[in-house]
Amino acid sequence: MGPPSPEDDADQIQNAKAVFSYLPCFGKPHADAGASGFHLPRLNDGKFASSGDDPANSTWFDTKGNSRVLVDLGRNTRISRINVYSWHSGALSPQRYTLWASDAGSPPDAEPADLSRSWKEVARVDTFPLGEGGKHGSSINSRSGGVGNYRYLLFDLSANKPEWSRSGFLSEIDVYAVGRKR
Amino acid sequence: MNIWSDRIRRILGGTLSAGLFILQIGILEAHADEVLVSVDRTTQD
Repeated sequence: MGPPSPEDDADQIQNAKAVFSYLPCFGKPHADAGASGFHLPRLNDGKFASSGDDPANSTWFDTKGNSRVLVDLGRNTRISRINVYSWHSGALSPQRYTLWASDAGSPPDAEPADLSRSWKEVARVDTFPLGEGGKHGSSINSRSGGVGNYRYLLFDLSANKPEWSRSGFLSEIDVYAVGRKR
Repeated sequence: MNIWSDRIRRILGGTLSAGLFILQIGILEAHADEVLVSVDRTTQD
């Protein structure tokens, strides 16, 4: 799937309108997870963790339940792939999430338990079978070359270790429009 | 008789072509919606 990129269509430098934010009624980011207000700038800063214990380049949530990350790409984008990267020395490296998307002009309500009324389910991802520890990556793409035409993405992430009140250690989320190589 | 046979043949041929066209569009749409997920822990460097 390749390394994290500082040049994807959700990166802060490439797309100043791209905003990653969390929903406060779900898991809240840890105090050291780099949140700025409701924004989560580390998820699209083009930087990857440098080790399995690099909190300065990671985003994680204090929760026993789910966390939700809303991505606004700023405009409808024909997406070719979405890459999610995480790295941790132990139980916080795996990823388990459902990705939802919308092409609406404003973000649909992202709080309901049942998102299917206003969001389209794109994919369910689970890297736990890869085992704990180390780098984990997931890539959502399409045989036809296009995942869909969307402005909003919603990641519904489950806690990695509910007994620790911890989600996974996310490092970067890259979104590529059709035609962009990396 | 030949005129009617010819007309029926044309109608059936047209219907078959339309059906195949619709089927082809359906297959293309199905492929367009087919999302793939891959997981990895070795190729991020």
